[in-house]
Amino acid sequence: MAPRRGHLANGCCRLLAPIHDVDSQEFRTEWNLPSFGPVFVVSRECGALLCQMTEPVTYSSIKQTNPTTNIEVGFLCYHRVVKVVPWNGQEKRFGTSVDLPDFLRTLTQKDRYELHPLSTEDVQHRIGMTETCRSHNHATVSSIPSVEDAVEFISAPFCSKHVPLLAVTLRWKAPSSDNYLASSDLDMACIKRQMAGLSIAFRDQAITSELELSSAGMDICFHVEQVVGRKTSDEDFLYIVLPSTRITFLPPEIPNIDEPLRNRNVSQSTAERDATSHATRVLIETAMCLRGASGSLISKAFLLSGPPGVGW
Amino acid sequence: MYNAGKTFAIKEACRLCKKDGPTPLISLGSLLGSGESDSPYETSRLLKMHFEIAAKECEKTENCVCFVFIDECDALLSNDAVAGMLASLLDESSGNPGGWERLIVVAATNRLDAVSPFLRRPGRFDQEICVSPPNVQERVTILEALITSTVGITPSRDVLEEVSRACVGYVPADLSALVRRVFAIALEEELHDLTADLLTADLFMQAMLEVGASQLRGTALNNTGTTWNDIAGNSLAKVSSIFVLNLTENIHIFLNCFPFNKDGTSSSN
Repeated sequence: MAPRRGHLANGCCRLLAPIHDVDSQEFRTEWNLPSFGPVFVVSRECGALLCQMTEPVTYSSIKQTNPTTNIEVGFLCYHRVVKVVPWNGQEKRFGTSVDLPDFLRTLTQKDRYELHPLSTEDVQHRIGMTETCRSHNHATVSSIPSVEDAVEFISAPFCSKHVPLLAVTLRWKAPSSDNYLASSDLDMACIKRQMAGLSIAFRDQAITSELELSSAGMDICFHVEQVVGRKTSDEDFLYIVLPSTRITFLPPEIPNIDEPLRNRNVSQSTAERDATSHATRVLIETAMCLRGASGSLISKAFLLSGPPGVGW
Repeated sequence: MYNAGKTFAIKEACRLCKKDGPTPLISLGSLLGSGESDSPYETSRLLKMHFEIAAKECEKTENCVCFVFIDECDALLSNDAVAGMLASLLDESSGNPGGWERLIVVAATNRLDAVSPFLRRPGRFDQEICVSPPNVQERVTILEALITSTVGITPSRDVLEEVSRACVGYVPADLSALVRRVFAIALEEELHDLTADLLTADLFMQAMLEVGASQLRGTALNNTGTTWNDIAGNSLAKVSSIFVLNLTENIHIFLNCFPFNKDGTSSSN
């Protein structure tokens, strides 16, 4: 069974230091790291780090045992370089010219990473999954069976029509609901992490994208039901999923739902959503999440306050 | 009805969620006033019982999410025993598997300060949502809807926007009262054939003198003409204060009559 990326990120790894200090010799001495070679830091918020950083280079470190070489602690696994190419273009938004934010530039550049010879199969699988999530042609990229040298992959071509996505709703398209129910909250969190950087095509209020992701050896197919982005004109857009994008999972379609309700289109539900208040929307989204997943990670108790007479 | 209120939000959410599966709504706001409970301990017991009923309902029905709604929760939670029971129930709902996982607890109150701090920490009431009064654009929409539905005429947009900008803090109930007062003033002025042109901003401003924002009542100044006789204290001290204040006022008047230049010379001949 393929390793779970979330298990690696959650159990074995931790953020060792701020990114800028990782390459210093003092850091290597303090953490008993080898003097040479790349260092590899794994963080659960890797996507967020990528977005927040201003320097073009990130290093990562993982702590694990390699049974084949009898090294108790093998730190070095891969070295990742994110190249940032300055972009001088401008994007038209709401009639004014604004620079594209830095985080978007970072996410849309070429990525390159190198695997250390001591890296185990687990890490290679993880790299493969990382590449899968970075594929922007909406096709599944198979995991890399063995990676010895440098692997280079290219993110989505830079496009001025990339619009940061505020929220996206995904409906599970697994053939049976058992597959969906078997997934844990950790899987959901991992999938959300993997989605950072994905592009979603959106045309005429109708979604054309179907995402295929891989997690824990299980292929998952989602149908994007709704996207909420800052649309600037009536043109077609390519939305990009950021780590800050709110991602909501919906369970597979249930057969006992009334046929007219099942066939309601996106525009109807969008209009319905716009007509409801913020409090109502939060409650509806919470109910949707609870129907689809375990509720341990979801806020389920709400305190509504405000002056009387608002709902007259 | 303006669909942004606290009670309306939960009912609307429940109605919309029913499309995706069973969504029962258990309202606990009337536990105290129903006569079922004579003591806080009995109220606590009823509270726990309703939570357990909701959890069982979620457990036995597939794809069921249950809303537990506590309207005007400050009244129910003013008792420490009830508040403590609710805190333990919230802890239980977040940690227990099964039906407890699919309980959504919503409490509504106008007096946020009356809710105990230990209930407002993360893990109990995780999220606090403030249902704010409408903004200017929303007030325009509400006023237009109120006037159109009442007399069937639509005032000009400029008038509505001017009135809406002046109605800071007005909730929809206040706006409804304002519109009723406008029509009453129009009747008093014998404007029987009310048209859109007669609904001027001045008419609304006149009505606003009598109908204010209900949430700003506590902060509004009330000029009742307080005299020295209304102020308690030693009479001698009061006379001294009156003398000093009058003297200061008289000096100002005196100086204003004979303005001086900066160098101290008199500017008047």
